Amino acid sequence: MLKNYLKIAFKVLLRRKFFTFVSLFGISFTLVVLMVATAMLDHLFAPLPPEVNQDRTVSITRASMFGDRSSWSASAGYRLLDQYVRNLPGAERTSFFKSPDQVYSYPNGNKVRVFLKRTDGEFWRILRFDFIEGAPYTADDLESARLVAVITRTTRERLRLGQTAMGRTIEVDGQRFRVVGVVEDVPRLRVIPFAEMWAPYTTVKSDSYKAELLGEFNAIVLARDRAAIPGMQEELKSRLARAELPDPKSYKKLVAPLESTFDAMARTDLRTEDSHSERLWLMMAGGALLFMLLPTVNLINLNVSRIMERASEIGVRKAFGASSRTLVGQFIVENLVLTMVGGVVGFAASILVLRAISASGVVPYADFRLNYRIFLYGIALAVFFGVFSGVYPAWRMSRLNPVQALKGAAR
Amino acid sequence: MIRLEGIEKVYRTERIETVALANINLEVREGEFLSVMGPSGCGKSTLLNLIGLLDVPTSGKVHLDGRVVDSYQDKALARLRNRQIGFIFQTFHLIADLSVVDNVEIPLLYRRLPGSERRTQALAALDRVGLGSRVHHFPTQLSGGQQQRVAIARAIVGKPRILLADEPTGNLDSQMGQEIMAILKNLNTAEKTTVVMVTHDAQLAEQTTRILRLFDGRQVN
Amino acid sequence: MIRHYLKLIWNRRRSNLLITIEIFFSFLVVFGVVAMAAYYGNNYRRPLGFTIDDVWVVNIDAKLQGLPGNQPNPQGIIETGRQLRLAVVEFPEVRALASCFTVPYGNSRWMSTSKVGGREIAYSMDGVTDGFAEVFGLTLVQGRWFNRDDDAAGWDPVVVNEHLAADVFDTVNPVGRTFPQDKPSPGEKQKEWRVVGVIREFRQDGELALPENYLMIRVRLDDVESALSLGRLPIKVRPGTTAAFEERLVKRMQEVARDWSFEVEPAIDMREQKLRDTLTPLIAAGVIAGFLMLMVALGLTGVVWQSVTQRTREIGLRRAKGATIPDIRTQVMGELAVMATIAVLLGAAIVVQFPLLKLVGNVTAGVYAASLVISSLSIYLLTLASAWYPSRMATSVPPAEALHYE
Repeated sequence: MLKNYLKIAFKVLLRRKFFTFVSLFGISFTLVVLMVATAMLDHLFAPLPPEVNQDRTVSITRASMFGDRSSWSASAGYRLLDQYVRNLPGAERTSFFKSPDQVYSYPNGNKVRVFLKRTDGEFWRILRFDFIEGAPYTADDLESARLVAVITRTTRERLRLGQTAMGRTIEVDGQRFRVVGVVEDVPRLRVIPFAEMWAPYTTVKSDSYKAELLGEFNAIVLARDRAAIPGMQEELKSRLARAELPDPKSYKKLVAPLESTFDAMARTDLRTEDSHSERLWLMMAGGALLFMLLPTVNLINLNVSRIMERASEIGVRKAFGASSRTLVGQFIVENLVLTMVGGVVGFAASILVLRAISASGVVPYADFRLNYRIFLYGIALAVFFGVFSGVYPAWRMSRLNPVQALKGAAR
Repeated sequence: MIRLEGIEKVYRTERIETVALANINLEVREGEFLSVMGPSGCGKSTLLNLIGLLDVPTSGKVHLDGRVVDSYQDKALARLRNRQIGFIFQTFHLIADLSVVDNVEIPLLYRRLPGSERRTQALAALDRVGLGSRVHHFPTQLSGGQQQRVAIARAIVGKPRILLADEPTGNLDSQMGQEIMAILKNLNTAEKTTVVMVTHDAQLAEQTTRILRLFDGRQVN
Repeated sequence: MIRHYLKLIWNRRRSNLLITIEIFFSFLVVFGVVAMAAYYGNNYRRPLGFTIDDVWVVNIDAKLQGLPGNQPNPQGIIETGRQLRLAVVEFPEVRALASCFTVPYGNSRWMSTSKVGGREIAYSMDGVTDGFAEVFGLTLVQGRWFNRDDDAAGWDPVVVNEHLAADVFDTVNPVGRTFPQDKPSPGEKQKEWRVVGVIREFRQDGELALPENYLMIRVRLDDVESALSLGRLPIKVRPGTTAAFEERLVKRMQEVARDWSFEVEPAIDMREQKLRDTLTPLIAAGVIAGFLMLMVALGLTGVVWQSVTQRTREIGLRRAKGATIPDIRTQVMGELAVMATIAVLLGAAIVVQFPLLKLVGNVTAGVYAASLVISSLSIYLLTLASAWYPSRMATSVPPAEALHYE
């Protein structure tokens, strides 16, 4: 039975080549856009080395002080982290690091801009970077404020350091660093690990950072397990609530949310308890559905046309005993064949498009790829799309009166 | 076998009501060859569609073997159409995408028979109408008479109890028409298949066992 | 004749409805992209109010501890700043220099509001030193720019752009008048602002931004709080100055202020970044919209083709009754045009609500109307192009054959 459906499906699709082509074009184009968008979102949020333990890592990227008439937002300051974020219950490792600065180096009269991130030693033990040379600096280096640095492969190239940079000295931001390690490039959109060069934060030129409650620091905390995270968040909140603020007349409350990257991006107001990350999910899903609207209407139109064109065939089948269910089943098989073929074409096209986007350098160091997860999303989308665009036409078909269908007036 | 009781078929649009059939009471007996005659527009085809359960009456009842069937659900109706009834159309209505044998197999598709079984029965039906040598051709490659014969093979392959033919010779020349008539008569006498045929050709109608005349949707005696 | 065709369309409304819906959504998509492009395009044409030729921006990070008002050694910082500026001016490559809070194409924005006769007027502002006009090539249309004489004044001089002047002062010449400020909070002191000059325009975000109200206030670098808030040093260099000079400049500045950090960025790079940030989503949306329209055009072609095939007999009949080939073609394309008209009118009715309901701010009526017209025409073009080929196919079969078509 299925074999017959498939045989008819292929014959029909091949007979009306133009229709089939247009339907395939619509399906594969829609899938390409959705899959490329999904791949980019996956790149932003899904676990990707060096962020290997993303499910049990939370971070502080912003902090705020609120008063009656004013508010002040920035990243966390070193003092906030040092005083309140150390030794949280359930924390396996804690790391503090500065937001990257854009600094300049002038090798041989050329100007090279480098994103420099100053971190502690624990940074390298929470995030697993891919070292192609040497090793990271340690807590000891941090204590001694040694001018050592880790750079990326591309930075090594741009600074003309040749095949091996180990032990070489580079002058960046007016300071001379000794290279102790070289790592693979890190995608720009992975905010937590990203930089083009790393050095201990004690090498910063002035000590002023130590006194700041709000400043330029971030923190990541690797929890022992996921279950420990809510406890950590509560503890931090209560510690901050008891904090002594420098200007209590202007600012009464200090907040610094400890949460995942996704939640941090979904959060619009630092004061609320919950980041309402469902809102971000809903927006993304809503956006996808909105985009699919026009292609779906297009496909529905094509499907209805397809059915009306075969009205007399449908009439014949009904006259010889096909129930509406059987016919709808055949139609759905045809639609699914179309959708699956469109899906395959869409996949192939997505791979090419993603490669083109990665190569274009619009997003530096990006390597957008399809993985099995996105593949599954893609299949789900294709099926959803095929069903959605097939429901109404199938319903129309099942309501066809055999007599009228035979006359070809399938209204 | 089939009884129509107090049948009325009315087509309604917003402003106009067309009475296609009114006050039809008719019994089709098992094994007979019934012709339905009348001028164009008198409702012959509508009557045939009702007998063949392709359409439902506006009022009245259709009995099959003593049971009222006109109000059956789609699935039950489909089953009856598949097993008891075979339809032959004036314009053949063969599916151009499919070969002759694939066309003939269509009623068997809805009976869950294995492919080989379907094929055997289809070939037998084609043989019965004298087309055993053209089984893999496509409808567009056949003459009108041959296409109608394929349609007949399709209608009889499931061994229905009743054959309904709507102007089966209408699109054929007189010689081909006679050939088709011969096949139908043979099916009626040899296989005891009940046949109801709509025609406007008096000469053909006279070859049947009973003639029913319609005028303006009503029976005429 | 038209009524006959309209009746035909109405009778087939169920299948026509789906086509109309598809055209309606297409219109919305096209309008979205066209409106954005028109908005930016229209802004691009307008005067900028400044030039960035040979302008480099030095971003200074003075490593302050906490709020500017709470520094342990404010005089030291002021003095270092002064030495820094002296060192920079020494270079022959530097023609002019200024200090300010934010620069064109920069990422910070300072906004304020004032109440004027019951209305609240919003404006963006910047605190600048006297050299700002020379660095950015500002020309005044009324009054004068800041100068040293203002040091002695008991009020703060400000320069506004024409837009803000008109908003606050109407047709009255603003030069010499007090610029209204909101009442200060209790205990806070406030100095009078007096307008000394008017510039034509100043669009801080660059060519793609909407014209807005802008105000510049003169800042004195011997005042602690001002001196420390101004983190940027825009300089005008001689034409042809290379990146090699940049290195020397940074080295020298580093010598003067050992603890501070410096970053030099040519203003054209900042401009390019800003343009790229703003235009990339638009370009991506445009590409996607283009493909969507291609898909719709192909889809409509298929649907119209099928509809025409289904009506072969009707068409054969019409031709048998005297319709010419152009008549048939007009009928086919005309039916689609009617559906497009309905879709466009519906789309326009919805789209017009956005500015009326203030869902979209700051769009000029002219731009909106032009976008509406362009989108409508595009949709008509798309629809008629889709119908063109099937309408030709409709008349390819001779009438006699068409009448017998099954």
